[in-house]
Amino acid sequence: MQSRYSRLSWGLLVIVGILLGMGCGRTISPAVHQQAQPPIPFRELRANPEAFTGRTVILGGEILNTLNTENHTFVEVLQKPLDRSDAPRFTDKTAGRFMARCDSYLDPAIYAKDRQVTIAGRVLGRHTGQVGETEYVYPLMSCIETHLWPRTTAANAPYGYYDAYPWYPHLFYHHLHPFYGLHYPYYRHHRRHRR
Amino acid sequence: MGLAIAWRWMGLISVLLGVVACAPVFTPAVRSQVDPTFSYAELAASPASHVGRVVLLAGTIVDVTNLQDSTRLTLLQYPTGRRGQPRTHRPSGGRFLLLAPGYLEAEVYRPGRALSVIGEVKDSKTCR
Repeated sequence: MQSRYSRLSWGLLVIVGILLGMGCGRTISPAVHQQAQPPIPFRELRANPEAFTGRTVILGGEILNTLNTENHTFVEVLQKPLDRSDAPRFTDKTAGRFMARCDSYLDPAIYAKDRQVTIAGRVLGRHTGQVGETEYVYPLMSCIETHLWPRTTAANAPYGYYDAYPWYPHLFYHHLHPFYGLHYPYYRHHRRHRR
Repeated sequence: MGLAIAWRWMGLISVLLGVVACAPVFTPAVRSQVDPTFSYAELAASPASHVGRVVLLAGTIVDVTNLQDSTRLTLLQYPTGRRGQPRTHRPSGGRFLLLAPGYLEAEVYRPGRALSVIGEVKDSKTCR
């Protein structure tokens, strides 16, 4: 009697474990993760991008601008710390902006402002731009893998929702969303860029 | 007897939670420099006579501009609550300008966000 119950609870535990594991995988491939070891603190990278030229980095944050040139797509991102599955955290904490230069065409209507993105690539050096009247130094990187995260439910939430309960969207933050992975290909904007 | 102890514990826990929820946003050292009798209406009426005073202002961001080595914000003033937060459901007292030293990320200090600030009155400016 007891053993039947214990077998049942073990089975349940395994199922729950598998379901949890499905939600918590890393997004960037293990090979690239390995290349990115040891990780470079973004603050140091921004202070002196040239010192890290050629190193592989995994960065993410909020898209500020996407610009297509003849051969490249430039994605300007406001850096955010990443969580264990390589997703940018929902926070105001940022160590600044970075610029990714991807060799493939990324559509600015998809890689739109305010969307969350994670990019793995190599440090190419620095990019100098203008933010208001401030001369701004961006670390410039290439794209090996990019992952565009689904829009948060917060963005789709009715007006006022988000302001009143800032902790609430956390629960439904892309991959933590109860239905993550069940929807259409919208959720699978993962690209391995040919270089 | 057991019930009385339970009630006492619940009382203690709710007081603790209350204290946690109301943690002040500014350090006491800075907060103590603020004149508690200050009224925004007086400041707005005659900024010149307030120059040099340390005040606590709160509001929502209307505009952000990064200057060469400072950041200029335009805010819509609202009365401050006990923790210094803007009470946006109250009537606004109008706009004020904030000149913050250094670079503030305009994509974080976005229009619409609520902001509280302790600073020194510098000047007044006429804008369109």
